[in-house]
Amino acid sequence: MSQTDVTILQSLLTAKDDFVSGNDLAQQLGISRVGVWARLEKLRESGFVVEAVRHRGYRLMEEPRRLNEPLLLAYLASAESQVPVFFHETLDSTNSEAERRLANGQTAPFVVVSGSQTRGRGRLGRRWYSPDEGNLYISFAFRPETNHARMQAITIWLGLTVCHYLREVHQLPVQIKWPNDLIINNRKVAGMLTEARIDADRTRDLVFGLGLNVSGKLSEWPLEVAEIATTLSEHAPSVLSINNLAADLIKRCTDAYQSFIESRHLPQMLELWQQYDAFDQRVIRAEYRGKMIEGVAGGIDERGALKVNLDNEQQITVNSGEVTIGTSAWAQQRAAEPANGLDPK
Amino acid sequence: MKRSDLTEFEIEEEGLRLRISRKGTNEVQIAAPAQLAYAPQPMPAAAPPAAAPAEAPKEEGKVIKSPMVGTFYSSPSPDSPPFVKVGDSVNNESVVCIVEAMKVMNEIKAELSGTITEVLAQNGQPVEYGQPLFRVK
Repeated sequence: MSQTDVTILQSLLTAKDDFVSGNDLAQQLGISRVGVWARLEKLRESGFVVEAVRHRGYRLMEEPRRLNEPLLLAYLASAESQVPVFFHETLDSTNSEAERRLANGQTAPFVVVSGSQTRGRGRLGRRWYSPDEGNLYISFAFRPETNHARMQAITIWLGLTVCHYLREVHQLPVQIKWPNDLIINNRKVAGMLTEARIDADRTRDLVFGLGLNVSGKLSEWPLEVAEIATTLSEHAPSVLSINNLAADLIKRCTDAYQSFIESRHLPQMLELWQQYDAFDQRVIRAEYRGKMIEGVAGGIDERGALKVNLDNEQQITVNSGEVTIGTSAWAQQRAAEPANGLDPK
Repeated sequence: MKRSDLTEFEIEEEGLRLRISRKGTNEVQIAAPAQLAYAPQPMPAAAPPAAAPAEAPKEEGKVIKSPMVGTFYSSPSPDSPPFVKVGDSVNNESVVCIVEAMKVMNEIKAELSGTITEVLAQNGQPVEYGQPLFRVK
């Protein structure tokens, strides 16, 4: 990967539909016009379609569909992202790589991205299907050095950040399912896994991993995954650039972490949750103090715990374990009732 | 309690925490949080090879407590061996379990040195703040 490529791509991206003259590029880079041409030939080999017109210059027509390091760096520069990004063609898991780098003393924050994963994982060692084209695998590493109780809502907050970005910038109908899945029409489009190391009462370091299905071919995925998953592209009005998405998410999530650690996230967290909550006022089933309970989901509290209204008008909060849609007759009937005095507000 | 000036007292023993507090003038609130659900239960042969004796002797020793409310996991994934089992020695830096809260998987360290003599929580079980998870000698 050369910095020259990043600079060329940045110029082409900035120009958008306009041409960039070979002369300008050559001057900017301090190389010859032939040198520029040679670099562009190399870029074409990695999947860029660059139009060249005599006396006008070069124009970027198409980007590679894979994650591409110089392009990602060019987008990151355009987004004014400062965080160090470690790029890999393939890894066992971006979370594992981030954890290794933390253990080796790497200064945080930093980001690890990979074009594919051989041992992508979800919660409890569950496998996260990680084909090598069209999906994003990003891990963010932080050293909070603060009381772990303060860090509890971090998955919720960063998940909301991703959800908000996809809705706001790409008009995608994404919702969040407490606490860490993003869904479109009830199918999973992204998963998140946060792993932390605790010293006494402090969170020493923390890795937030994001797996996002962007444009993979569902028809080629294992049936058990394809049945419950979807991709952004299936719902996107226009073609998505995976490199642009990656850069935007890196910028947004590192900024969001900063506001979280400075405790500036709360009003927005509660507001966004209300807007995007997939469980809102639905009957859910959860484990509470060792027992399965059913109740009506009523949003989250400031720590990110799920508020659940039970049939005895009592409200409890759930902060770990699995949550699914409830099935009992009572629960169904209760959910169907209009404003019933159980409203948490 | 009413005859005394006490407004609140708390007893903690063997994973059972009883907190009694007097609010206002008359009202006495008894809050016995979830611990009842997992007050010392004889452990089924869950902890595989080194199953603790069904009636754990009242041992002197130190305990590793849960630093938070959450779900206890003894291994990184269902099909991998536990982080620690009875008989293992641990030191400050040894990871002994994961406590999950809000889908943050928190790796918990021993923070002390010794030998695990008893595993006090079961895989997948909810745990409370301060609940003993391991006994260490």
